[in-house]
Amino acid sequence: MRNWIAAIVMSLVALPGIALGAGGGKLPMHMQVDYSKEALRDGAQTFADSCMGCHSAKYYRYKNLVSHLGMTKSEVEDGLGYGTISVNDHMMSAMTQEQAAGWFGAAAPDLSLVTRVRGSDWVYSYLLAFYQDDTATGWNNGVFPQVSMPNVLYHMTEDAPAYYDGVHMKDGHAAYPEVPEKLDTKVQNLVSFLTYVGDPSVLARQSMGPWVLLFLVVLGVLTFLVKKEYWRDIH
Amino acid sequence: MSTDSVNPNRRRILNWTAGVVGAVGAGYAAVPFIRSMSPSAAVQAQATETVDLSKIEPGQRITVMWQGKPVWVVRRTEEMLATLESSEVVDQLKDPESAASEQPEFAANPFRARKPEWLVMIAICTHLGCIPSYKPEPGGNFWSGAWEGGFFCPCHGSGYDFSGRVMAGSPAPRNMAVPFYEFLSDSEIRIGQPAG
Amino acid sequence: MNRVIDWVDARYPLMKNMREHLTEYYAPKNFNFFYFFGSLALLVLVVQILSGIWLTMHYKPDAKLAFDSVEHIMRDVHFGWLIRYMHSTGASLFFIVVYLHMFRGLIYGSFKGPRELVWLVGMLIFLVLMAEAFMGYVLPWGQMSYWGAQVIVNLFTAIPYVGPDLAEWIRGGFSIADPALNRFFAFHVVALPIVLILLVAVHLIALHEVGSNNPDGVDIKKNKDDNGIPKDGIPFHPYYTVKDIFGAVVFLFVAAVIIFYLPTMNGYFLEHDNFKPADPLQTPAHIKPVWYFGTFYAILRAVPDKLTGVVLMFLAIALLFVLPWLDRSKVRSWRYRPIYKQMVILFTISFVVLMWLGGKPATATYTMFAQIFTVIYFAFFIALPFVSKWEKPKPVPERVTK
Repeated sequence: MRNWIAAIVMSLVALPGIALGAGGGKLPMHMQVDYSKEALRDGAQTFADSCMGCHSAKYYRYKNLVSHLGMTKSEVEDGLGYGTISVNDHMMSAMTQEQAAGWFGAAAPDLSLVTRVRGSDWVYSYLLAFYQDDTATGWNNGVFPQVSMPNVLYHMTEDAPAYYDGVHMKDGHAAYPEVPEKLDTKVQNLVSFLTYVGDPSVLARQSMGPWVLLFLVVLGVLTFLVKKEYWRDIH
Repeated sequence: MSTDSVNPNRRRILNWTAGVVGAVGAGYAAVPFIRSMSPSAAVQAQATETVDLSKIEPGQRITVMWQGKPVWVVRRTEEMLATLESSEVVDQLKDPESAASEQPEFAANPFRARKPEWLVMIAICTHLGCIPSYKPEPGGNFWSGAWEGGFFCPCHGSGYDFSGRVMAGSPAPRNMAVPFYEFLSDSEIRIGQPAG
Repeated sequence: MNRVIDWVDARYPLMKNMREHLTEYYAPKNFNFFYFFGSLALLVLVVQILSGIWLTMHYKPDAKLAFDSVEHIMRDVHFGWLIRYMHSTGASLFFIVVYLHMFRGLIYGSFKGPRELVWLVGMLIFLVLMAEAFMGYVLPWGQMSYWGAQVIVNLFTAIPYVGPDLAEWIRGGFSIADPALNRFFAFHVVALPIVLILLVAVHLIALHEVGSNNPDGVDIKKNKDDNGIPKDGIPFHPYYTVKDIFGAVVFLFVAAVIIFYLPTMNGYFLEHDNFKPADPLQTPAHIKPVWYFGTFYAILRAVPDKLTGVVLMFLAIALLFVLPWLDRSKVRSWRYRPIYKQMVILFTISFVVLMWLGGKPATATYTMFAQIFTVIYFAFFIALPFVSKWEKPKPVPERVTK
């Protein structure tokens, strides 16, 4: 019930912006953000395993994983953090800005708000736009040329290497094969998680929204009846 | 404009219904504003303070901050602990069993602590809120009765023993409060309940 | 209860005010949809003040802390996200409501005598509102906050002789930084809200002094019954109070849809670049003001010369002030002024198109269109004194119609 209103509103707004569907071709690739607990927990795990080596999400507290996504304190502290974090901490990478600048030439940016700034579709396209090239890391990116970030997703799923081996540049544009299912799901869940991290209130809004609207409809009907009743006097 | 064929009852019922629903809505709308003034997640994350005990000498008292309040950690010597059960001291106490004290369950003993050697106490006089002074030496001429050592509040002259139990003749009504704490190891305590 | 009221009433004109402004304030009975927006503007003002006060409990007006404090509100403060979204949505809704309110004045001639002062005070409210919104937008200290402030305050350097010193005085420094942020906070939270409240009070008192206009532009005070009550007038309370309450609920529904499902409005209400902390070393690719300033920004950019652009931009607002004297027609409502109606429609189109252009990058094509529509915008004011005198209006009815 909570999501159908969101779905209607979102699709009306997205009408002008619908790009090519996910799964190969050109940019931008479009994905549907999934705010289900399963998708977000999978995304959180991916983020902790593959991204937090360099990236932080400094505005997000681990304890939101407990209160919003229903994970237990132990699942967070031991499962995600491997015993090195407390649930009250913010999601900080172990790597410092100085280390990153030294090793990669640029500090890995904090990702708390990346989907707010760039959009979920951009981040999704970016993660799937790595191709092999003659650079310091051996990777370039069709969405973010000369990016300092290596392709940490190459071995993320068993179908990932075949996909990335197939990404190449054509006429100055990145060209992609069809994105295989396992990789697509993993990346979409990760981007969904980042979108949620950008604005964790989305969960509360989706659950409260229908009730607020319903209340206002009821109040609207009542105040309309009051108005009609009084205005019967006026001719 | 005609008001003669008005059905006053219908108006009253409609007004009343709309009014009640509106008032309920206004109440619900007020909730976020009121709740937003409660301690935020940032404040709740500061619910605990960890203290390293390894550098504290016997007889020494240190002060740490916890939730904005001063908290003493005192490493009591055998002599200090002995005074807690001497009749000279106990006879002066207003509440020797700490029946009316603000303290966790584990403090229901003369030491008011988990381990007798370590006193952990909120350093606020229960009279009007000053921070008492540490007076571990017996004697002195600031106390009307026998002084075996403890804490003395200079503001209005309240006296407490080595467990923070208030002595008769003090304007303070109750023993000083003991916060919840846990030993993380032999040399580390954590004051306060962790949030979440 | 009546005894309490009588006691107060003997010492304070409570019942007198209730009668004069509510139960015996006779408003025309033919108010239509456009007449909701005044009371809605008042509602939005109240919501902005309440949500603003609550935000001030947690926001930190310091360049090093501001951005983080807003994220703290969004994430750590209980329901902080709701209060923030109420405030950001309210800001944009304020302008939608106020523009529609001004449009109503334009089409029905509510700016004409004896309501010139109501219009002037309203224009002052609009000016103060723009300043209030501009300063409020700087407070989150994002990229757009910073660079928008930089660009707008730099406009003052265009003034001959005093410009650069004036800009430095406004900023309290050589560039937009912590001093500017702090004083904008003082203005946004204290000074301008007080000014707004006072101006709104004056606006309403001036209106009640002469009585409300209506969609036909007919003066209802010309036809009174034996008791001296306008035949086409109805007491504001209860008729318009219950109607406005219903209107408010519909409005709140729209606001709730936005707050709960589309709080950023895809970058129009909360811009993408503003989720990046202010960086004095990096200008965003597209600096643009928030949507509601688009029209005036487009006019500013349409002119290649800096000072002329600034002058034209201020003129675009200043001409609205003197509208009561530019329009020399005796007839108020566009219902009976077919030429004026077409001019207003053209003007409105240019206003909206310019607003859209203000959000676009300044390419050659877009700039050309901005110039064309700037001409149309000003043509409205230039032509008005002449057209209003020569135009043949349709006969105006004696009594109001539906």
